[in-house]
Amino acid sequence: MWSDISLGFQVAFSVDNLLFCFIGTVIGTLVGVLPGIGPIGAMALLLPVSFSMAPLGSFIMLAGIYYGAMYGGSTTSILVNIPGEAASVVTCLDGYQMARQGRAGPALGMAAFGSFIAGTLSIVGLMFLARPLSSVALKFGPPEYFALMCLGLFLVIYMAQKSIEKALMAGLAGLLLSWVGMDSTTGVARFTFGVNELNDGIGVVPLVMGLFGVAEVLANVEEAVGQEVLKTKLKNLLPSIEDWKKSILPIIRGSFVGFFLGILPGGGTIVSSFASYTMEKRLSKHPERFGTGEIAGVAGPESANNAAVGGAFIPLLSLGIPPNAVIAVLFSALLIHGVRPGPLLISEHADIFWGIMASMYAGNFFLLLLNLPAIGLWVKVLKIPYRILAPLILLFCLIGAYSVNSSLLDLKLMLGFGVLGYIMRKLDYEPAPLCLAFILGPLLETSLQQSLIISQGSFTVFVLRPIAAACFAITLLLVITAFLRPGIETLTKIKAFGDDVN
Amino acid sequence: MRLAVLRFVRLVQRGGGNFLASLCVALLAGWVVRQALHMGIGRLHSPGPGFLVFLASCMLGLLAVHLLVKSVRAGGEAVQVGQGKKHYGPVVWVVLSLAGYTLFVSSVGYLLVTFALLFFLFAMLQEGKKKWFSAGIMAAAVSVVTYLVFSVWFKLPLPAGWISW
Repeated sequence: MWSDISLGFQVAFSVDNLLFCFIGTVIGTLVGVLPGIGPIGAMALLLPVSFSMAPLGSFIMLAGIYYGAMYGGSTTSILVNIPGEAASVVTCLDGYQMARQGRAGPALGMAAFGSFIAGTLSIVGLMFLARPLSSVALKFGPPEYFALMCLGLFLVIYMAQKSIEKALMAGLAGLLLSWVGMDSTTGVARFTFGVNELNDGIGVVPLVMGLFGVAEVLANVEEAVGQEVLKTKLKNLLPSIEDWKKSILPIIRGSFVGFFLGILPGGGTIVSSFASYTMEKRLSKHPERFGTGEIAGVAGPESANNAAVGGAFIPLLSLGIPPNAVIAVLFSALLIHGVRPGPLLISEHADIFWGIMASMYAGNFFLLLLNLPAIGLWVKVLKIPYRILAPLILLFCLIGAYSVNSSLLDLKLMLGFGVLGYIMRKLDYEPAPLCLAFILGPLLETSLQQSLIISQGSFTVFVLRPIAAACFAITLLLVITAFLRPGIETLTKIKAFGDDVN
Repeated sequence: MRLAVLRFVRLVQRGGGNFLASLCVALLAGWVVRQALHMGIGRLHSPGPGFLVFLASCMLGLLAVHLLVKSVRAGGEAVQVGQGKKHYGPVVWVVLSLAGYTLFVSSVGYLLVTFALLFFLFAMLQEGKKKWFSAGIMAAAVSVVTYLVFSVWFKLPLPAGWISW
């Protein structure tokens, strides 16, 4: 294993790959700081640019955008009280209050240090867990993959912030969209309407650009919201010993919570940051201080969301199954370069596997430098009015969508998905289940077809194989609890009302 | 017929956006089910191209009908409380300008159409008195810089149109 790690450092620390890592982390911090495009949109935009790069370099850059966005999101949360990235919502609660008390520096500093420590710990966890999990995954066949993908998809739907029915509908719509094009098994053209370009299906870039980039801009131009940066001097970015005493345990706990929640399909950075905040508030001797500028309320969640990034790479690299929509874009990037993530990745592309791990160490160092000494630069960027940013974001989306195939159809699709994404937001349909289902759809279909061919049409293959059976049992449990949830909530409210009356 | 239309309008008023969306999804799902049957669902030991499409669209249709009924029973949805006043005008203009971009970029070329798009968007999104000159300068600068970065440096194939270097 140590020779593999050494190989990883050798390839990751080449001048080219370090440069790509730096570019990725800078862009990631930028999209994290600016509310708008988000890491998915930024990754989709740079996907065509990465075609001319080597697979490892392109993956390093795109991965840098993902964990860079987690660092950058805290800056806007603390200074503007608007989350730069969805996973930094919770940081607004205490981070902005700290800034109002003249403690923006320690808040920003602790967010950066917490993210660094958690990021480093999660990479260590990734290195030690990925390989054993890959060995287990070699025993997976089509029924196990089908069951695991169903579980992953349903977990993302289950974690929906709003309506589960709407998230399920979005997931099903994503599956149907993924099956547009020529069926690989039978050669039948599905929903192509005679358009030759659709024989290869709908591209992931126009879909992601539309749903997450264009739709976000449309939603933001609708509201005339001012973005005012808190006027405060940024001093003492290095937290005091007292701050460290209050934060070190939340950082460690956040790292573990984030890492293990990140592994779970549907877990992700948002759930990790909320879970960490809730846990710290429960464990604190002074829970009433949370929401008034408690540094643990910044340290824990910011650590958790960065640790979740490392955890999320485990199912991707070991099983070949992306656990959330952002990792799904990275999955597409690897496939486009002819690298299939999964249990054979370590043996067939050891340099890529270990290179990715090693590059994340470098990425974390770059991010610490970018978010501490260079913080003033990001504060200036925050002051750019949205009326200037919005057209730029749209332009980058157009360039990204067109560049994949030099196809006008991709531009039209992006616009269509943009309008769809905007309508979805208005009606509380979440785009993430649609995106993940879109990417998993073809794999899901192939796994099911192969499973049914193996079992000669019998669905008992999903029950007789233990791993598949376990995954379906968990999925069924989630389905039952999801639909019983409204009833349970009503009963809880009735009971609480009854207790109040008594 | 008139009575049916009136009843439908009342249903839309009661159910709001959710009603309309669910209705559209239900109709679309029904169409997809028909297409899936036409493609052929095959047999269990040899699933056809329409097999999973059929299953997924049936589930989607059932969920859409469930939400349709739910939206009518629940009544109109609550008005979304945002942080600011809603302006739908800019949304429409942005969509129309992007549609125009899609129509003309291939024939006219990236530089000119991008300049036109950015000039329009920078000017339209300004509040108060419009500063056309600054919008024009910014649009020109961004068009040229992005062309140099993406087309010349990254070698992405952006359409040349009327101007070919």
